[in-house]
Amino acid sequence: MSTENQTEHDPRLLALDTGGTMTDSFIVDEEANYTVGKAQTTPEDESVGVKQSFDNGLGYWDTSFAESAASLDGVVYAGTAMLNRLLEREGTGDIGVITTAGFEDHHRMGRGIASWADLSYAGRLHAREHEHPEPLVPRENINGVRERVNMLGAPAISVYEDEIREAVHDLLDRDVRVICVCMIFSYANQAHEKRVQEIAEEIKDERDDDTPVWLSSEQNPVRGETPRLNTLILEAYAVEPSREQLFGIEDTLRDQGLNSPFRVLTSSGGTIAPDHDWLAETMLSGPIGGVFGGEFLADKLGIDNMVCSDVGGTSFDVALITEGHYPTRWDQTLAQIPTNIPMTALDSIGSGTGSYLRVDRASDRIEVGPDSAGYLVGVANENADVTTPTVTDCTALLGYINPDFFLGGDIPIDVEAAREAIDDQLASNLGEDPVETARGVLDIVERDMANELRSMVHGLGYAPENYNLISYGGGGPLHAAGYTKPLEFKDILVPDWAAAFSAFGTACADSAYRYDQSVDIILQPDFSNAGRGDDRCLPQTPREGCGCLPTRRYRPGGDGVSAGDSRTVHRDARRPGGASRGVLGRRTHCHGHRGSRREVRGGVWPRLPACGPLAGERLPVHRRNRRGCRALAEADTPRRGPGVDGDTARAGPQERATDLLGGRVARRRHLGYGPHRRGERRRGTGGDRGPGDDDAGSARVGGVTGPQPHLPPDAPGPMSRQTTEPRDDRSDHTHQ
Amino acid sequence: MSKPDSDLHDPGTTTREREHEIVDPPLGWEGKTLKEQFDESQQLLEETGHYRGLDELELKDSDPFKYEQMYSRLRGALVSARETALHVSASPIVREIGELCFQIYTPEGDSVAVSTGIIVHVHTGSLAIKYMIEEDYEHDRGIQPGDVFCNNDNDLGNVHTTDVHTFVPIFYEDELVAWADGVTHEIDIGGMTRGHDQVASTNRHEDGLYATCEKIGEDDKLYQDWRDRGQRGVRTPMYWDLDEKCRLAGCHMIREAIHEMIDEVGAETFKQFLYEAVEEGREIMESRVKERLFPGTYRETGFHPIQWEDKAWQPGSQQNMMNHLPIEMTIDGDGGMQLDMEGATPPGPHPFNCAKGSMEGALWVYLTQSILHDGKVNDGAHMAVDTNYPEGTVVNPQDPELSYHTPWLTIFPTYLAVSRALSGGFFARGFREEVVTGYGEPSDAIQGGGKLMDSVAEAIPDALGDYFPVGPFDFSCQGLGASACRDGLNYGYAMFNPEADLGDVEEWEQTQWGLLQLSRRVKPNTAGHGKYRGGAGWEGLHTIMGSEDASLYALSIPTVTWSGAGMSGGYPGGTSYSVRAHGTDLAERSVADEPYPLDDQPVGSFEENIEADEVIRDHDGMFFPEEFENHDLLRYQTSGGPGWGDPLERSRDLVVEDIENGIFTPDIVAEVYGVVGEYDTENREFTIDAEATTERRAEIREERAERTQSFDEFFEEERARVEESEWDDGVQYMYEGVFETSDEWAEGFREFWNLDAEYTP
Repeated sequence: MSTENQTEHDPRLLALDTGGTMTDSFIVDEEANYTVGKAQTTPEDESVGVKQSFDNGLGYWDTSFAESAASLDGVVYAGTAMLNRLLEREGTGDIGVITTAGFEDHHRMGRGIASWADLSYAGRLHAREHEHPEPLVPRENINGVRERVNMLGAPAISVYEDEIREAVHDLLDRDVRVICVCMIFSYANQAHEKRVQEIAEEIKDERDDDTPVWLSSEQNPVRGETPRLNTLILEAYAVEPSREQLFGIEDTLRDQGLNSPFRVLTSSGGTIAPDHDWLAETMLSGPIGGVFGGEFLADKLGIDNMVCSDVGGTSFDVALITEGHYPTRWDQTLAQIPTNIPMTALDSIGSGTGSYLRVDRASDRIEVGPDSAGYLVGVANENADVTTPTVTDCTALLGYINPDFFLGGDIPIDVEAAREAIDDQLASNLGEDPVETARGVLDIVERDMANELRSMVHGLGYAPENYNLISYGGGGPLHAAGYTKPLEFKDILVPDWAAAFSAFGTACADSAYRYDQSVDIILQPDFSNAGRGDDRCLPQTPREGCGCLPTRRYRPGGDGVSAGDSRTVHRDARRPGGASRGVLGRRTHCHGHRGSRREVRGGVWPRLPACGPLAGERLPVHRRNRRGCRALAEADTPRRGPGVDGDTARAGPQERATDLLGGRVARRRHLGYGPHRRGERRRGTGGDRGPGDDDAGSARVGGVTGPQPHLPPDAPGPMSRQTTEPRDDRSDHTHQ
Repeated sequence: MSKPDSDLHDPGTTTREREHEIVDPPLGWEGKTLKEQFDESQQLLEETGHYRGLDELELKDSDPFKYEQMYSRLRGALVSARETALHVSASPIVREIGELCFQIYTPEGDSVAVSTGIIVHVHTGSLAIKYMIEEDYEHDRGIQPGDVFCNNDNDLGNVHTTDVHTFVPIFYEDELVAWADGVTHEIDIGGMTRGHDQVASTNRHEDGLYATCEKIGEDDKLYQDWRDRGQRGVRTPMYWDLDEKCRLAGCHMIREAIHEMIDEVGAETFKQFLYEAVEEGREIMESRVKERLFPGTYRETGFHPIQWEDKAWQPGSQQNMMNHLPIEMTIDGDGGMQLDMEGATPPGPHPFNCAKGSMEGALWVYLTQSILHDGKVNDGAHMAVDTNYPEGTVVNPQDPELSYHTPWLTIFPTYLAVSRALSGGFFARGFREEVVTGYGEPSDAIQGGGKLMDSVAEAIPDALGDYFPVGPFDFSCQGLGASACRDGLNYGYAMFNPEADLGDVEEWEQTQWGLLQLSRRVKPNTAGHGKYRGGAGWEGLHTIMGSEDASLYALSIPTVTWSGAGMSGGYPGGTSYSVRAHGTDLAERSVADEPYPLDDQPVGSFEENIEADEVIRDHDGMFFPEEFENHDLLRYQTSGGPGWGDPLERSRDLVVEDIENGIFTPDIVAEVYGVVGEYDTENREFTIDAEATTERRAEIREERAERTQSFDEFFEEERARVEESEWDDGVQYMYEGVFETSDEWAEGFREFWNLDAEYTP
């Protein structure tokens, strides 16, 4: 499939969407003509399928990858290989974890939500179905180290260095490939994680060992210790092994003559080089390509607000672009595992063209999905053995699709088979005519889609009247009229390359490295401090005197955090001509409202305005060598603020002891209830709260009295206790 | 006294011109008053057995697709209101854990559809609306477009005091067409102690702020006096205010959606749809029962021991009590279900009294998770079940004077019994996989609050006050019971909300500033034993830092004994216990890199790593509010689910996994499962000694044979104990109460044990 009948093409940009079954490619030339290629995905060596797909697409232009490689500006890869590796649990193990002691089980506990995260609505309600995913790291490979940092980023309990040594030696003895370090509140202060790394480096030197040590505060300093740890583990489990695949594809393409950048699409909407430090952001990139395509079109057409809607074989996906930007989420699960990978906000319902249709006999109601025939299409597909009717069977019966030209004629459609299945399994149970039933099904499916749109747009406080909608995906053009009908969008757009729009979107993605940082601030009722998230970026230096254990480590005046903090540096901002654009944009995501303690995630990222990865020199980033160790490739600006790195003095025990939590405070009782005389023993509803019930035996401040909660040492009852100094004796006042 | 120093008050609330037109009664359909419409509805149901007498669903039959579209639109509106409104709230309980829910009711107060969330409220709001109708608010207090009502009075329709409902009547032209209701769970309600599930209150006057089906606003604005009352009446005015705005915003979104729907389909179709949806809910429930449960009578009992003689604050509560929570579930062959609680304990001087509406709401939560998850959940389903929560008992006290702060501790044991009864029905039908032997009851709920030391408060920029509430909802991850073909889910189940979430420590500590969590570890030996074991619970440890005036307590269940049992030879999960250390040397240890405790595993080891002025070790996990100084420690644990089948039949491989995963310890495994071997703790590798295991299993069987007695022997022994009332004073409290309340139950008891007609315990 390609545009124009032009004979000469000069391909400039290649984009890939490597799915579980097919590898799609989208190829654009100098004149913005495009062609689309397809080939079977080759999971063993993806580069084979990639090259075939390119050759297939370029074949329409009478050329091949080898012939055009030299003239390309870049290749962008998007795919599901890493996700599949995780879904099928075929990643690489031997991962070690060091975390805050006491929280070694967080990974397997999955915050509880891991047990139901990917289930349908009915499945979520049905407790019996819930099941935790198998942990990626066995419990014996997770070691705890005593320490605690509090919510202000202040070390409440200093890190136990002997325990670090013990933990590191143990993991190295276990021959782990990598040590992942994640400690509570390390996003607010990475000092303890850093200390683990320093000591680990010393031990590695001693042992002549080169096992890499990764810190969660370096990968993704975002609030939420469970997803933060999981994301780091995913990097080791599914991502790092995929790096080899990416290098393999890159090498194959370079062998064919490619000398422009090979880039990988991230879930947050940029492309990065395969040797970038962290690739977890590329875990899920295929489905969101369309959003970047939408963003590109919106920009070209001068549209501020756009709803992107994608009707695929298995799901209906919706994303929102508001004032040119799409929101990002941090709380997604991947294969049930909670992560904090920033992802372009995309809502999905299990309603697609391949969704199965059934009648629930208890309620005589049509059920759509959530399972799907996917690429097998439906009963009407003569080449597949599908027996349950699907949404596509309904569109076939209604004559909405050309039975002789489905997927360009690749799949022959048998309308009669569709009619029969719909009649037998649906219409006859409802006492309806099959055609009416098919139309009714589409009404339900499209109404569900409309609800999803409504909920996404209204859910963010917006109104459809202010949005244009773009519809794409294999089923987009077919269903757009139906699902937009109940809503008053400004305009509906259907690109004529709707079926390949996601791959097109991949080509539109900017070259961008994204860094996130959670900053907790309490927004005031009048929003007077709403903009101060910028100033608070990186509260690596806690304030003096916040009442926690040792404060000496951080000297007064060490605030050292400012808007231009060096950590927000970005290093990949080149245009085709080679001119560096520097910082093109600065984003601070501020989710919050009056009076609540909220999180501000400051992401600063450079953005390029046009189609993605472009020619130019290699960019200065931390690179991973093929053993997974980090090497500084070129001059690099430190990522962290001052005052927390290794040269900061660690206070000695003596000094620290003097700064313990502020001594004892005046004791006040605020337990809120006064004791009463023993009265009626049975089943009364208690006495009333009269002032006369006070007694001299309990302390009293501000008119509020409270009983001493502890029993005397000789009190009868189920308690066993060791008391060196009884605080009070309640019998004094309970028997008065 | 001045108002709280906050800009949250908007003085302009009631001075502007009305936006909504006044509507004169009657407000019901076809010129009826709401009361007339309600009475008619009741009468039709009674006479025909069908809601509104609908023996046919005309709209659904004639245009099934339109009907389903309308239902999907309605559900969509509720879910969307919930998703949007939760962003208005600031409380992590609402925002992160999702403790909120929206419902739509018919004008007469029957629920039609419910959002996700704390679906227990599918029915409670219904009762509050019916109260307003019966009390003739239509003519007296007035019900007008733009009005806002509030209720958290449990006796009139709520689960517990900290669940607060906001109601908005929805008018179309001159008729009231529906009600919207939003509920959130408050982190504090201004009760006698801090916390959202009090343990210390014994009567209404200690429960906190009550709104009794109260009009709190008109013309879409809240009254200023109401807002002042709310914000001054609780310890956390900011959360209160934002939660209230969250509920109101959601209700207004629902109202808008319903107006759009009616504009589209017309008022008559909409009304017809509302009624048919309720009747359909009733029919679906019947059909599910018929399909999945074997007919018969199933009897189970839940127990709730309250060992308070040396614990309670008020004199009337200082006694050992036990609540008796029997259920008899009858499934008939036509899809009918009856649930009878005859024999329940009378209400008592504790906060565990449970209004009938709360019991009914909880029934829906449980049925939704077990049998109705793929159906329509509304009041129609409620109408399909014939319930008896006897008046004057702890499950239906009919007495507003009581404390209803924490009825959950009555609900949990009751529905443990219901879960076993349902499981019997599933099992007999052949649905082994649907069996759920029960669940770990959602506790320990650590609660309380404190104030930050000035130096810390100053370090939090822009903080609103220095009081911090403590109410982590991490207790929403307990072990689930086993089924008859596999183990129960570990640390991932909450009876009150199937979408369980522990929450991250980094999230909870954003609000409970002075409470620092030191540990959250899987707790061995909490899971109930069995051929298929229950899910395991976990153990946590907190300390206080940078605070003053901190008090904490734990609402714990099961307490000193189990509330339920396993099935078919399975054991119940472990009971709870509490360890607290006051005046510790945590600070000194932490600067000297000396270990401090991270758990109490093995049990009793906690004290090895801490010096304290006082360590309290209590077999009952529940304790009343207690002062905690900086560096004091509090250890608590959640519960495991019950098991299914004889542990001796458990596969050896699974036992090995249990040990290696820390679900059970080798000593317990040898004792209960008869599996013996070597455990390499460092590498978590257990090697079975096959010979020793065979021997040990034979030994256990022998021990069992020795203990075995004939039923007649057993019966006679037990009968003698019954005759002499030879039991704990808590059990005495229980039987005395039941005998006083229910002649029918007392008679059955005498008959079963073959006792004299005069027998009393």
